[in-house]
Amino acid sequence: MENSSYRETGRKRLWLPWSGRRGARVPWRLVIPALFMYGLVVIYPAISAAWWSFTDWDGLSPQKHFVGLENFRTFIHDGQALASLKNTFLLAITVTIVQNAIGLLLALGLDANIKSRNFLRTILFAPAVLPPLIVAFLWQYIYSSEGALNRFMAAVGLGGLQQNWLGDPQIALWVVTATVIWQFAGVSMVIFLAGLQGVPQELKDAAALDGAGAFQKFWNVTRPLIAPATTVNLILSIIGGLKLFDQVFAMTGGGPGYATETLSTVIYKTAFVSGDYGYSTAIALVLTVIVAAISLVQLKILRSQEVEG
Amino acid sequence: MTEEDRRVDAGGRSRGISRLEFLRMAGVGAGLAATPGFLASCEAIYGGGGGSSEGGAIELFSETSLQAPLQELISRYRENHPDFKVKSSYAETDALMNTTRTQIASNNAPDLMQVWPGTGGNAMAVGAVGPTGALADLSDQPWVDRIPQDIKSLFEYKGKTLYYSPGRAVIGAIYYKPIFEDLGLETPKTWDELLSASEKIKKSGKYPFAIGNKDVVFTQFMNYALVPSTVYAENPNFDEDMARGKATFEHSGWKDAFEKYVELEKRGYFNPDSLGTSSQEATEMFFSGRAAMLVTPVVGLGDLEEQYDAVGKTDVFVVPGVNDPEKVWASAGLGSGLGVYSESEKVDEAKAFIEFLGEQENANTFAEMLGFLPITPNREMKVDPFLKTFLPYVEQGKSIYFPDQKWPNAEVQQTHFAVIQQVFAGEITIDEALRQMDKTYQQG
Amino acid sequence: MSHLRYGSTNMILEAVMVAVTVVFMFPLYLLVVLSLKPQSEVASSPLSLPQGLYLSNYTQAWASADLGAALVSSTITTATSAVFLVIFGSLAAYVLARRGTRLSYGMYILFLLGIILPVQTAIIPLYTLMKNANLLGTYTSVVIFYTGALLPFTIFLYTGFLRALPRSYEEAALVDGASHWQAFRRVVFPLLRPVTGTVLILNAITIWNDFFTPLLFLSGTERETLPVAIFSFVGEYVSQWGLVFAGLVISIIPILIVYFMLQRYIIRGFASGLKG
Repeated sequence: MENSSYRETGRKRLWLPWSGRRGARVPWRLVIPALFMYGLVVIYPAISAAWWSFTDWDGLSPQKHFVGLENFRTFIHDGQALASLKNTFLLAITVTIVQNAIGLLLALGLDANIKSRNFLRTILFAPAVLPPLIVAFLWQYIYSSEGALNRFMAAVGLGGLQQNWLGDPQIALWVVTATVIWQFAGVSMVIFLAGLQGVPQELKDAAALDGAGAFQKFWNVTRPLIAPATTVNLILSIIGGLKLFDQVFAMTGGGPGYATETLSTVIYKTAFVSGDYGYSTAIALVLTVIVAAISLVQLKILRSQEVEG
Repeated sequence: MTEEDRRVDAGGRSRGISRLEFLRMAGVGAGLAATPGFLASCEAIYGGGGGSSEGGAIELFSETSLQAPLQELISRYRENHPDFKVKSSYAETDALMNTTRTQIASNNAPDLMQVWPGTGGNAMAVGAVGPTGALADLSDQPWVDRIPQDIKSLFEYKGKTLYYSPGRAVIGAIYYKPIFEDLGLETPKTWDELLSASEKIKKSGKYPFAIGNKDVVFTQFMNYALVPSTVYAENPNFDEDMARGKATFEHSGWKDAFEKYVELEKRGYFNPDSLGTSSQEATEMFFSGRAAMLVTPVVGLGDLEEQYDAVGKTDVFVVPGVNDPEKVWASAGLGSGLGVYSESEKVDEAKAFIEFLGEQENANTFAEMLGFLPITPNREMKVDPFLKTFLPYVEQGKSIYFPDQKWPNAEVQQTHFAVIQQVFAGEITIDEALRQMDKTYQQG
Repeated sequence: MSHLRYGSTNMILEAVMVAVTVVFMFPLYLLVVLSLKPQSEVASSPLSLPQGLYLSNYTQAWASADLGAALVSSTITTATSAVFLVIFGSLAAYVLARRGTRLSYGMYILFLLGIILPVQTAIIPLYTLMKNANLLGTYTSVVIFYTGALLPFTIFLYTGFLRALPRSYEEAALVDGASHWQAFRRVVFPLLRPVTGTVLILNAITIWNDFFTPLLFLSGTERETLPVAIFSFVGEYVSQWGLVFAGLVISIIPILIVYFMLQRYIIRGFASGLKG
């Protein structure tokens, strides 16, 4: 069969049924615009920043002096920075697990045929639209000692459980975690919903005919087919959680004391408050390596679960 | 799927595809090519041209609260200098500092930028930016000679005056008059009087103090209000002694101030969960009459009264940190102000404007509109009624700047914030807190 | 399709979802309520419904921060960046998901790194670049920034879903003589509608709410975006939160409308795509 692609591409094409690894390949040139923008905006500045981590730059003056690995040595001996590592992990892992569990439940609930689903999908997503400073501010009225939460607890007879939600160093981190989950559960939901669109109703009906209950339908039919959405969600949550800065900083500033300091708040404070830019970028480099390691491992595991199309 | 897709599937007419396809590709290509043009036309609609230096306008980047007074003063200046054009931008403190530092690092600082006083206790302080050479020398301007000796060094780096300040901000105890009147209380003149007044307020069911210690900046205000009396009244050169290693936080009146701060809380004079209350909430608590006193910078109190529908219901007193009224000193720190970018193309124009600001009449306006006390008290100034209590202290030299304005690095202030929270959370003792502050101080 | 039935389980589910939503929404209720109260009422009774309809926050915020211009500015930057992100991102993902070589996997990881890297820390070299290219204060500078910075996230999403998309559709197109570009454009991209919708809304939110970059690149011009304008009410000692809230409510509405439209498009798009 005459192939118009001969004329258009001027390249000889193998006339074989495509098996993915042989035959016509998608041309590289389609990726060039993306690569260029990305290289310019992200890669080039990142390399410069990586260079600063080996200097004693203050982020301001024209002079930078090379100090080798000194910043990294300081980090290893910096008790407070290391303590913030623990908070960072706790926050990220909790957010990833809980936020996605809730997001999935919401998506499943709103995938079914209920009348208000379009409206509810919008409303549940709305928190993600709020800037972090405002989230912190609004929740202040809920978490304060005479705020909505304590009042509600008193009203339903749980008065004994009232807490200094943000003022107690023991629980402040968990309170921040819960607020972050509230804000982004809707995002997980949206991504799961996109994935759920690819689950044909016929398959679910067939499973129902075979006697499968709701949970089995989910586990055997839905779950494998939404694996790409799951991968995307889990990876984004772990990366976002490990890097989270705005909400923590706005809600507690890292306090009370150092109770909610994360690596990101430490990075910010050393750069912009203490003017220790070299040290700050060194810590940022450490954080990047940690996040990269964790997410790459996670990605490998998750991708092996996906059903290739 | 659409019509065209089905045509593809059915192995349809290649001619049809390629013509349509060509048009499509052309459309996308044209769209992409047109976008810069589209963006450019957006620029044109919005006042033409790109780049940040155009048409000889001076760039001003300053703190939100300076917007009103600066606009007033700029139009005043333009009465005699109609060619003076300013492109101004305002932001809140943190964003302002970060952005300006980024701009300085890229050799693209605004012609007039926001600078804070002192040696480096703050990321945009004179002492922090001075070493980079980014600030133009203002020492030969006439207003510099009128700066009182005791605060002159706060304007300087290596002896050169590098920034202009609109005035002094004071930290005092704002009190809610109806509560005091109902209980028949006078404003306290000694520490013990403060304690007994607080006790009476507490018994009447109100919170004596509204404390918003969740916000770190708030935590320092009580200490800043106490140390003028507990530290500097005895030794006004305390910071110089510290710089020379002859004094420490731990063995000084700072301990007394901390202990008094903690004592107020122990006696139950704070609102509950003060560590989890934001400064905004504390302010709201105060203005709605649930708390009797708010220790904070006294700035724009008149406007606040209007905002909260509490006109005439508040007044201010100096916090008596000790029991001898003669030895009570007030907290009056230098306010942040403007510096000139030394590498600016319009250095002379910018400097001329600063000189204008330094003229007594304009300086008075600036201070007035900000709710500050002028740097140099003079006969023509109109003092904000709320600040009248502080004036004698300043005039008699019984006031001191905010301590961080003479600290060697910004971490000391950060440590101060953190240890206050830790002390109130019961995690460390006052001695440990002071030791940590000393340790950070000694890092230089 | 069993979606035609609306049985008792659906009704219970609906009730549960509505209840969950009400609890979820409390802070948003607060936002609207706080914006409609004068400061004195906020201080005395923050949580209750407003005593009267106090619109002064809205009028004052609109006028003094010039929110109209800021709205236009935000719309231009967000829309332009979002379009570029969809085009460049989906094309790149197509290459990375379909080539299947080690090199393409490597490049995928390279892009993934962009989600991990803290972009704000390294803003200085980019700022200097923009200054030298005389692009400071222009829309172009922020559009370039957002496109580059959000491409990794976009490509990640597209690639993730592309891998699950059967190749048979584009195979058929190629067999019929279409080029890869045509196959992508006419077959693959329409099938990616749910992802495109998701990518559009998530990127739009990030760009719409971003504060620091527009402040850095656009300050002093009339092109300041909404967040910069709104947060100009926050000061060192005194802030006018009522105005901030009013500004925020104004700012949220366009984004929510966009989301509402997009999410129906997402669902409809894929459903019809499969049946086609």
